[in-house]
Amino acid sequence: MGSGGCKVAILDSEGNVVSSAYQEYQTNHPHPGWDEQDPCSWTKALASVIGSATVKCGINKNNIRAMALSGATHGFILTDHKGIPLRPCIIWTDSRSTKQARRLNDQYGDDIFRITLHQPNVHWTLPQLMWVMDNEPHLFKKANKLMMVKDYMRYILTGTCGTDWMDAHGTLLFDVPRRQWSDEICKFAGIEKEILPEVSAPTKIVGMVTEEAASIFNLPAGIPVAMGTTDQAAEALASGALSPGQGIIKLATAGNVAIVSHEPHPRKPDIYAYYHIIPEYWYVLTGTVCCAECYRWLRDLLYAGELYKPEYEGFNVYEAMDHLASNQSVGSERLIFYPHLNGTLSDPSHRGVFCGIGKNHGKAHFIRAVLEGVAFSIYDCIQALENINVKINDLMIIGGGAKGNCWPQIICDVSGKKLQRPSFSDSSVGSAILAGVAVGIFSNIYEGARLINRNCRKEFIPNIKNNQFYMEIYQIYKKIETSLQESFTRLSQLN
Amino acid sequence: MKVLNKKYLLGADIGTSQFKLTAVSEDGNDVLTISKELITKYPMPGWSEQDPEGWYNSFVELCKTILLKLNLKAEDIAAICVTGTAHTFVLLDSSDRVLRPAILWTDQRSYEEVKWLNDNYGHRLIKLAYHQANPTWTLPQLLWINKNEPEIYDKANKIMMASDYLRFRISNVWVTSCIDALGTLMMDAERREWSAEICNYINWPMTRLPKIVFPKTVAGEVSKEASFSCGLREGTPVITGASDTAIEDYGVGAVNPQQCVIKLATAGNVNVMNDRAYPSSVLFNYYHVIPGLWYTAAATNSCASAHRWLRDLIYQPERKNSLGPETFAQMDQSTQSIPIGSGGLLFHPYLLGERTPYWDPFLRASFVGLTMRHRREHLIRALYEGIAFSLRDCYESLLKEGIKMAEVRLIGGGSKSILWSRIVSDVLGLEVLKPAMDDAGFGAALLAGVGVGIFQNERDAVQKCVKIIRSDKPNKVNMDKYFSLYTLYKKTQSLLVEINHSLCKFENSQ
Repeated sequence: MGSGGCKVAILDSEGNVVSSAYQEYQTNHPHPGWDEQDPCSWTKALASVIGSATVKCGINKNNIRAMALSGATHGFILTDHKGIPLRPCIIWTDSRSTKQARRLNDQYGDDIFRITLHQPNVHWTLPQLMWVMDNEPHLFKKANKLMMVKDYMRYILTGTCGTDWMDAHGTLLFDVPRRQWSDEICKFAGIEKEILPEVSAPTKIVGMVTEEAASIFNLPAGIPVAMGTTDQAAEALASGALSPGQGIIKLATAGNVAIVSHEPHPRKPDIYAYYHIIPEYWYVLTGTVCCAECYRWLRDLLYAGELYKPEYEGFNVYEAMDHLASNQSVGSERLIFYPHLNGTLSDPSHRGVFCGIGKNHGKAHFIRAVLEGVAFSIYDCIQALENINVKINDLMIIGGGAKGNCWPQIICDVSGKKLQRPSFSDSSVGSAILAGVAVGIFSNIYEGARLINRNCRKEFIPNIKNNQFYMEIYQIYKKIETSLQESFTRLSQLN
Repeated sequence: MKVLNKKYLLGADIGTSQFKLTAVSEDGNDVLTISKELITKYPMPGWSEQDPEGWYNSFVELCKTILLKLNLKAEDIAAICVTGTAHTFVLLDSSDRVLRPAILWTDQRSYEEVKWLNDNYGHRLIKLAYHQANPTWTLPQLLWINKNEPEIYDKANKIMMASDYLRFRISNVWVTSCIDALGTLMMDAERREWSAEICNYINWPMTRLPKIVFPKTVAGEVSKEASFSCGLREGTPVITGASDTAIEDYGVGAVNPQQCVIKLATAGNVNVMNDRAYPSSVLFNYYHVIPGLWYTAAATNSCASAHRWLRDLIYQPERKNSLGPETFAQMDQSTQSIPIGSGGLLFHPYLLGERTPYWDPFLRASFVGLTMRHRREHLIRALYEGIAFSLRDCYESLLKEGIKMAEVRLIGGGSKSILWSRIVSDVLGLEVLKPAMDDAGFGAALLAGVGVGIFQNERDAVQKCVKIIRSDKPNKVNMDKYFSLYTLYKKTQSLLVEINHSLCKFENSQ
């Protein structure tokens, strides 16, 4: 149950992905900064993708041995004593709870960081819950249970409640070192522990598809359903980031670098520590706000409008852009792009820059410069983690931006690190692996992950000469960060 | 269509890439310009040359065409005046044969000679000729010929600037205007005569230099041979003219001190008219067409080439046709709704480094302040504003030398944009006027009329014939907004210098 839609994957017992389907659902914005979803749209979408995927591969639904769900973190549903949602889901991108987040930071910031390893901000569940307490008290009074996104959907399927470690962590109410709900945080937030779910492992079977759900989703009743986990944890699993030193580079709208580690290593403000799906380990993550989003922005700048003309039928714009970029030289003939179009995590005033522009620079240079600039920002992420002693041995490159070969090779050359691109990295595949482990079809998580991508990983090897070249340009790129601070600040003030 | 027995004046303009011929009726109401492409050759990197006969051939062809198009008889042409690119020269031998192709003002080959001249005589050149040597001007180019083509140097008997050569072919008279002469760097600017001292630096015999006359003087008449070829009446008065920038500024009506002409073309100039020169190492000073007046020019590398570059970057060539001029109108149209400051986006237009006021060939262009919200239209507006800021840099340099500006006449391709004109007006805080005609040929035709007495004097011609089609007055509120943006533009430029220099150093080491 992702931020934008629902995806399902069907695996067979040998770890082949036999089918998948995707259905979007809408995010509603009743007010600026409000991002909400209607759980009914989730149900419709899930029913739709189950239908499509099963029809596509023609399986007999009675052969479905188990199911599991993963979902976007932090988003929550409050149900009444009948299990009916009291209001739409506030999803993680919502930003209404600035007052509540500030109050938490001002009064309890250090405590919360000590207990949860995170600093409160508007995207976490707790400030959003407090917003409901403050602004919709009549609803909050009736709240009987707190359910995270995937937990609510599993409740619809099985009638059972509960959550897993990762989703619990995402509420900001969980005592991370002690692995239990935090009395202290509940006390100063004014949250009653009774509404909080019981926590167990993602691979535990916690229910079965009920008769009622069977008719809603057109599934046989009785299918075992495992607890499931967050989409981020499921994605790490599918990609094969399971042992310390393994990790992912994700090129999505935003960019992420996340590494499995023995220790949590949390660092304000930019480095986030999560439970990993393997209970002994941690998942240490940092990121960049604008990644593939920069490429989409550039696409609109260079090709907007024209794409709808008849002479452009059949024109695949990203392919065309990749092609132009591949044929440009390393370093884009000294055109540099500083990619923080939406600010950095630590400094929202930062802006994007193209500099070193000469008369000889055309479309191809700009396209390649964007790919290289974002690659430098990913390299910054890798360095940030290595600087706090997170060991990086084995990187998987995933996400929409990893689909072509041009960008992964640039990132590989910039970082100097070998990369692998798994064919399957979706959270839906990860959930399916959890389901398989839950009923013993896969002996364990490692085995499930190994089978999924056994035949299909593309390798990218760094080119040493290119890497040396990039490191020289990188020095100049870093100067932009420090030299233009004043300009960034004043430009944001102008607006 | 010809009306009754109206007389016409002809102005011939040898441009860098086109030859243009303009006919203006004596009452100033009818104007026709026709053109023909000129071929520039680039035998070596940094060299630019043209065939002088090509100018005469173009003239002959266009002359016949224009008489036809206007349905004129030879005697309907009252006078002709010639103009052309400055600093472009031709060498002839003692039989008046052309010795080699003309070296254009864009030629860059003579950088070593420039260095030698400036190292040894730089202070004298500024004192006498008001300028230091640079590869554009004639003196170092002649020195280059001396060193590299000595046989040609020895055989040279006459030197002619581009307009002088054309005038010579039409009238058999060999003279030059004071403005063209000043552009050789071999003239004593204050005394208005050739400088023996400077000619000595390069062993150039002064007998090879033409007589210097005022631009409105009648130099000679159309010869029999020329008349036969081009269709003009033998004996038609040929007025001297001058180099193109001076004639152009005159032809758009800049005839009084503190009037300014800004050209938004491939490169740009901010030219301010004055009653004296302001010699400096960073400004260019030329005689004006009107004796006693001068104009001082601050040169900038940006302008319309940045505009064309952005157009080519962000638009797709249509599958069938290549990008046409209508795209410029499209660019203008789409930018109407973008507010001042382009949503917090700055553009520095230094695609080719910059001259005034930084004199740094290692500067490069940049966009600073990009966010997800910025679309094409913002980049276009930031470009208009950035170029206007670079013009303001020129304006400030001129002010620093004590030169004042009262109003601006905006010419060149970029002046077609109404939005850009308004931005320039608000950024400079000056009224901006758009003249109907900005071809140098038009100015030359007016001067032809002055030369034969159809107009009482230079200012009379301008008053009767120069029409202003648009004017923008600065808006105080906008001016204030632009001022804070301009200071941020300058600050950001200084913050980027080290980065730009690092990039260029890096480029040179590859």
